[in-house]
Amino acid sequence: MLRLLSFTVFLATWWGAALLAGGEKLPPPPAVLAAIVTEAHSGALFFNLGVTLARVALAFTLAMTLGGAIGYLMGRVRLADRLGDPWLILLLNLPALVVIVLAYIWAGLTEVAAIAAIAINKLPTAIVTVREGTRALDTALDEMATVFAIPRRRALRHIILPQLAPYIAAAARSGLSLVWKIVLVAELLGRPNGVGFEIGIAFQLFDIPRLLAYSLSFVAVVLAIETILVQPFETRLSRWRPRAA
Amino acid sequence: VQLEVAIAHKAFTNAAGERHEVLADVNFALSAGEVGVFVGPSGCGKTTMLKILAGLDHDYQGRVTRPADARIGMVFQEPRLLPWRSVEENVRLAAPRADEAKLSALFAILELNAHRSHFPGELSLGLARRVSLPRGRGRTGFPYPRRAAGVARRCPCHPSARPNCHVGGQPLRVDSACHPRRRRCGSPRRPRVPLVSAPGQDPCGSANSQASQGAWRNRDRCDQGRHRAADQWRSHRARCLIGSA
Repeated sequence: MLRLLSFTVFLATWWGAALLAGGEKLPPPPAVLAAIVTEAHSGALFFNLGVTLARVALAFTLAMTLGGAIGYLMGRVRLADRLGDPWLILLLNLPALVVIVLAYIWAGLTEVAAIAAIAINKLPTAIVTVREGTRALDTALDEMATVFAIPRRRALRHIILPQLAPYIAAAARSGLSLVWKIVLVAELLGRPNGVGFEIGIAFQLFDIPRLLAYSLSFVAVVLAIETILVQPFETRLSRWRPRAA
Repeated sequence: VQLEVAIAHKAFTNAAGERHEVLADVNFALSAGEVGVFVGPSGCGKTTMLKILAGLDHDYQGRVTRPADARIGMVFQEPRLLPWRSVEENVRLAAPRADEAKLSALFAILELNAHRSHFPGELSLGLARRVSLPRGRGRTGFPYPRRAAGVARRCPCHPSARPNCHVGGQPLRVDSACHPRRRRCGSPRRPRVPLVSAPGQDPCGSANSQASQGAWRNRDRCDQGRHRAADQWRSHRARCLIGSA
């Protein structure tokens, strides 16, 4: 109910601003809706959304898996931390654009180059977050696992992952938003389809309704993923915590 | 089958970089079925020694030989339960081979049936301690509460507090020899009472005062020591009680 109200306020503000600025610069909601319907009718909307979503999913999974493993290692092993730290700082401060352009130059305008470049952009932040989580692991519970000879796999599942869960969730949240923004840049620069490519075309034609149609549709998809997947998962993971007031 | 302990030296370095000597020249052996007891005032190194024996602390000089098929059971001073797992899952994790019947019997004995699906955060500290008990026996077979006497002290209504206590068909062992209930809760043999003394304190009288600086004595070498230690323990406990009242 509260969400609906806040959504209505957003729509009203948009409409008001559109009236003030004029339909040329900021089209009102009905114009954008019409653009969405047109694109959906031709099937282009779903195709491009799907392509972009697939790239987001692949790059995100790759970055989170690798980043989680490397972050855990760096949090546990001092040597790995010292060896990896300069690389991490380099990667963290490398602009997304540089990585994407270099990947396209070295590997050609291919799907592999695009996804690798996006994953490399997300990787360091995932590593940093998981590393902090690993450093905060409870040694008392590690001792418990050692004394009761709990096998590694079970320990990972029951003792370590639950402790890392808030950190992984934070990395996933920020990661999902970061990845989909970078995916658009990669698509704009060197892919023949996807939301980023469509936005590039709309930019060249100054077709603002179409530009908004694509970006808002994708935001809606991300919102749906968040509500249907991420939030219930988080609630389940944190059900043992005493309820916050 | 023998546990042989020869700890030459154990020191901690604190956050300020100062070294604290904790143990020096601890030598003793326990054969199968024998009960050993460490007694001493707080901070004299009892837990440090137990951690070394359990293989949790490898940073010491000396040697500890455990029997090849040794199973280590341990009841930590604090419950050390996984807050994100239910009471039942916590017990199952430490005793993966215990079947449903055994677990049910165990929960009935410990009067935890009503709490099986609760999370540790929903329990009182006393209840949480009771949950941590059955894990003390470790990985194989049926875990029996080694320190149920501790519970009995805190919870007089508990069945294990009755004289001649038997839990799960096993006689209770009590790990603190000078506890007055020990004689009622018969242990298989008379426990030997190694003494742990704080540096500068001498549990064995003036005759050995130099040799016992920061060191350990066992009953064979120091007959008086046991009674002294018991006195020390009682007065220590009294102080604790007064302090907390």
